Amino acid sequence: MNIKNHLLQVCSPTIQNILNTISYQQFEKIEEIRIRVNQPLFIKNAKEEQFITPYGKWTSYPTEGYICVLEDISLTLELMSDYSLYAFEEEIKHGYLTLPGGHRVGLTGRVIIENGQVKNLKYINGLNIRISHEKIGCADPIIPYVISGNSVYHTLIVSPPGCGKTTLLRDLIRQISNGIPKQSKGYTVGVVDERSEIAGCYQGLPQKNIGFRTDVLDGCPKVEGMMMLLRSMAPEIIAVDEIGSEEDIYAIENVLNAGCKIFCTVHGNSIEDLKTKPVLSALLHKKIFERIIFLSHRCGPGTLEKIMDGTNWERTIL
Amino acid sequence: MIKIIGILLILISSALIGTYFLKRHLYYVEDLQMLYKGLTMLESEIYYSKSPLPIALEQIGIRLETNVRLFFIETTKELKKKTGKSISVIWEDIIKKNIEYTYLTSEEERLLVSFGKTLGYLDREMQIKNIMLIKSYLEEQIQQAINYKNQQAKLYQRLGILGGLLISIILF
Repeated sequence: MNIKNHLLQVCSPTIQNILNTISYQQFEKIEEIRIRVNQPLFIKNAKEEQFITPYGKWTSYPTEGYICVLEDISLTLELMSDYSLYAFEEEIKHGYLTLPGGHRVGLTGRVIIENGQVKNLKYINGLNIRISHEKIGCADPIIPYVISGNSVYHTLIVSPPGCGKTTLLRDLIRQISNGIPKQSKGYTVGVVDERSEIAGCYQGLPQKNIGFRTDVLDGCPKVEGMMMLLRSMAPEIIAVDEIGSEEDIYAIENVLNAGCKIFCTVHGNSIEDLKTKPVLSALLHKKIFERIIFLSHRCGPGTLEKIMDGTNWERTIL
Repeated sequence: MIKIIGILLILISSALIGTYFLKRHLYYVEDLQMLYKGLTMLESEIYYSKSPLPIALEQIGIRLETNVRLFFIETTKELKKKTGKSISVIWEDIIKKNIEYTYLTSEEERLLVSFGKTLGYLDREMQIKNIMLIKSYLEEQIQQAINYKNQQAKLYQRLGILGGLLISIILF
């Protein structure tokens, strides 16, 4: 099913009618749809943000846009969760929901705190539907730099939010897992998908193509997940998204000790930026990553800036 | 001869009326128990397996007997259509449409409808509390109905026969 059909199914009838006027091609380009209480509905694609009128016309004047009401949000939320918000308790606690098709919905509202921890969200006042684009083949340019003879390099993907690092990681996993004719055999890849972004699992089933030698632990905390995979699934490569805490680094070291290769991503702009973050700079100084790939938004999401050798910072490969 | 046939007919029909009232009460108890069972299943589906409602309700519908299952089956069908209606609206419609096929009373109808208002909303704790509330009412109702059956309901049957006898004696 395509993106449009997936999304229309989970929106309240009013929003459904408005979005229905957008063509399939336009839908492919949308990155975000934002619904906020008493604010205009708006849609963001790679280039611009646009409001949308109650009759489905695009406009750049906020006053002309369709103003979302509370009911739009509560009904949309009900449909998104398959009428069962309780089943998504864990996800909502972290401020998001995953939809069939692997799209992510960010949530804001009144936070309920218990024992100093976020217990739940209620009175939801804003939704951000982030459309996940699967770009089959977007990892093609970096594949030659990741493969080394009979093995692969430990690889770190660095980019600011929204520049396609998860999309790149996903396609990298897919290609390495399937194997590339004449270049590389297929590897068993274990994915710890803490926020259901890489494989976009919906009720445990991956919604994205992540290759046929890939095992996914969905919704699992990275540290435990990496250990679980090491113990039970005998992966050759472990892939995780958005590392950053000290526990993550410790778990990565365990993965290395077990002889596995690691693919991961991190938020950041440049090597200098990473060095200012205490945990990450410690990781960089250990010179674990043999390839560090930088992405930017310069020519649209997923622009490949450069590839560095993490074991020798003087050396830029691309 | 005709008199005898007439008397027999009156006796049989009045006995049947008595039995009908007894049976009706028994079916009512059975429906209450079935509803209780369904809600217990829903509780465990929500609490332990965290199944989404369309799946949970479908499973329950398959496993229940008597027409109470219609509530679950029909709601599942409607939810799967993804018409964009909210679940409380769908649930209320289904209850109102199907309550006549069961032996449940308007009191239960009212309770079920208000139960639907919070169905699926927010967290599991809230769902469980909500189910427990309606279950405790049902428990009480079942207990009362069973007591009633033991004391009163058999009376219907006897009254039926005796009433028939009375009519025949007066008539003939």
